[in-house]
Amino acid sequence: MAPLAYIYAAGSIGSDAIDVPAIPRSSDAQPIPLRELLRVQNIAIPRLASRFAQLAVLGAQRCLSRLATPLPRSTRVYLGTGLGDIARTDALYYEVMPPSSQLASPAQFASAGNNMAAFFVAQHAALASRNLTVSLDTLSFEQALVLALDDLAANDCTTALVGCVDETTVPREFYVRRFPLAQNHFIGEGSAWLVLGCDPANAIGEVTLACMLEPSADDGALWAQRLAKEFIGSKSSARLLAGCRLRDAAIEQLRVALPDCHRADYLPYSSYFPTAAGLALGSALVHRSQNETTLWHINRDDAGRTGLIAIKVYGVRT
Amino acid sequence: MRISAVGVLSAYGAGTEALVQGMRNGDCPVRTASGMGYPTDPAPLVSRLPPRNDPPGEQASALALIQTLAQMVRAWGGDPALLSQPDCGLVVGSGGFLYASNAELFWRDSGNLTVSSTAPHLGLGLDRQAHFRQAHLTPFLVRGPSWGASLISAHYRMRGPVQTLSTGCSASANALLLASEMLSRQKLRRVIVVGAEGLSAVTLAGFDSLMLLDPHGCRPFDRDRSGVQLGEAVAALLLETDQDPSAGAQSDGSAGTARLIAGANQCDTHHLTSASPDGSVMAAVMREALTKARLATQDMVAIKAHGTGSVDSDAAEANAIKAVFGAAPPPILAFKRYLGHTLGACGALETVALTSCFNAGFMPPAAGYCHRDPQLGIAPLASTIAAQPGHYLLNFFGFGGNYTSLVLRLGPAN
Repeated sequence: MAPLAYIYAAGSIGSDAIDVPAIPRSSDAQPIPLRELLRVQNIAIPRLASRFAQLAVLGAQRCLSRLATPLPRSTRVYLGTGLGDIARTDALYYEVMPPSSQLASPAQFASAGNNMAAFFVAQHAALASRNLTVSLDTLSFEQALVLALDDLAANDCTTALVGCVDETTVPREFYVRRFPLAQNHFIGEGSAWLVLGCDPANAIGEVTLACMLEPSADDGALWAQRLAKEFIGSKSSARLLAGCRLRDAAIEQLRVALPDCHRADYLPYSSYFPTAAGLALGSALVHRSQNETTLWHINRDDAGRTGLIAIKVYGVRT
Repeated sequence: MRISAVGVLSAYGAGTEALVQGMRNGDCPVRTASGMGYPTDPAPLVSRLPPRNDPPGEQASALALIQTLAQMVRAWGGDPALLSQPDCGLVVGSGGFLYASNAELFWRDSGNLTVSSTAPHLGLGLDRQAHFRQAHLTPFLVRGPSWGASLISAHYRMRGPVQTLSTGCSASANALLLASEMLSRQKLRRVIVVGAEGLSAVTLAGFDSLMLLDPHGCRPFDRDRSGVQLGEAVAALLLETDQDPSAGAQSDGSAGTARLIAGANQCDTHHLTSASPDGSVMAAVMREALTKARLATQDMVAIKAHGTGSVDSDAAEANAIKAVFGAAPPPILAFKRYLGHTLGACGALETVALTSCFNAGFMPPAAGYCHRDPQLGIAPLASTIAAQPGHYLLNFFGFGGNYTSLVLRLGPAN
């Protein structure tokens, strides 16, 4: 497949404050102490920025720091989030509503919008062009990536910064309601970013596919066979990354339909959050091996849409 | 791209007729924000939806969405089954408070807690208020930012792409821009765009804390302006590609012959809530929109300003308009005294208002404007004029420096 875009850099921050957690998680994530990380990395971000925004900026900075030159000011920003800045909004709610019944803190209110994370990323990277935040319970990173690829294909921009962010601040019960989790699934958080463009020079990988397949009730054998036949190829030696909303039965059907694919189970490392797909792909690009690898990330939303991303990760030249 | 049909629920009530009649008569249906749990006294003026005979609680916002969509579909006249085709998309733009406002009221109404059919996963037989408090769940947590899009998508069994954009006050303007791009790139055949926002005690308290509420209501570009007049609304537009000969063929004509020509979105990183005072980024986004539309400033019949009535934002927008259009810009329209500042919904709502007024043959004056501000160097339209066919520039500027300008063509092409 011809590349839809080239990837120049990737960076992420996961539940253990590193790009790829070293060991599977054994408990729900404790909030990462971001202020200290910001200080250590010498990132200046206004104090009113929420933790959600801080997480996004930290992830973006790890990506930007791997670029040889700063991004052009015309770079567009596309951010996906599943939960949005729930912690700050929730805090505002309790501040304003009875029994507290107080005025909101101006700084808290001003910085509570879901788009503020993308604003702070743009401010940090000195970017002035299109700045979109896509909010969807699932597949928001996938949709943000599709929007970026569309703009690149239309020559509306030459570079795009595509990312995701979700944080862990609320009780597990909330996640179970909005984001079904099994008992052995742990809650995670993180932010990951990719820099995309159309010039192959200095690329570390390429996006070969990003699309949404129309909803279907089926996620069984027919669904898996369709993915194999129409997209992935049954003889593929690609690595399959099963998203956090795929059921075990669906994953098993994928294994049957794609016997030559190796399943890379990233969720025990990243833990579960709506935009974990971005973290998985970003981490793979950061930790490249000597061999070229094709990654297929597959996820589904509540309506049965399938989000499909294929990324070719170039081997590291020795 | 053709705007084939519209639907609207605003402070004037449901439908474009009530909106047009109200704006033609100069009626500004402002009310006090009482009974919302808003903690200050006196309550500010807001543009609230008229009281409706909806079921209590959170179903009200679901009905507001679905009924406004149904209104749009009726105006379109096409087969609703076409909306479920994979070539039909949905883009919702909202600041996110739509989903909270009714739920806030519901929360406090502990004697009438029933399980909504729109959220069956909340659990049957629970006293939800007690349950939420115990679990530290709030409406913001239960209703995620994509709740409305999911609801609409499920209602019409949509198989095409579904998006929710959260870019503050430019959210539904960005939704329109995105829809237009999807159509022009031939990704889709038709796209539903929805702007939706509900009044929330949290929003009111937040704007109050920023000292951005004008106790006298919105006075756009006025010498004595002192802030915004918040509002709530749902507006829906159906966009179809011009290449489709059947586009709008069965429409009732309420959307007229409006075309969304082009637009642009840029980010002003000067400050979270304040524009660059010289309006340079606002000017840049207007210029980019004009460039993309392949039009010059003299091609613009009028400018629909963002015109919030806030001291700094109006000053920056005035500077930007002067920078782009010079000292004698075309008529400047400002709608927020009529409709309120509906935040994420204002892009869709004010586009519907502009097209509806145009179809009715007039452009309304900037209600709330009385005294020229010599420091601005521009003034909005002060009296009703006849609508002129041609191109209109529409500005939508949000917190987080998210600025969007759209170019619409109203009336027949030259």
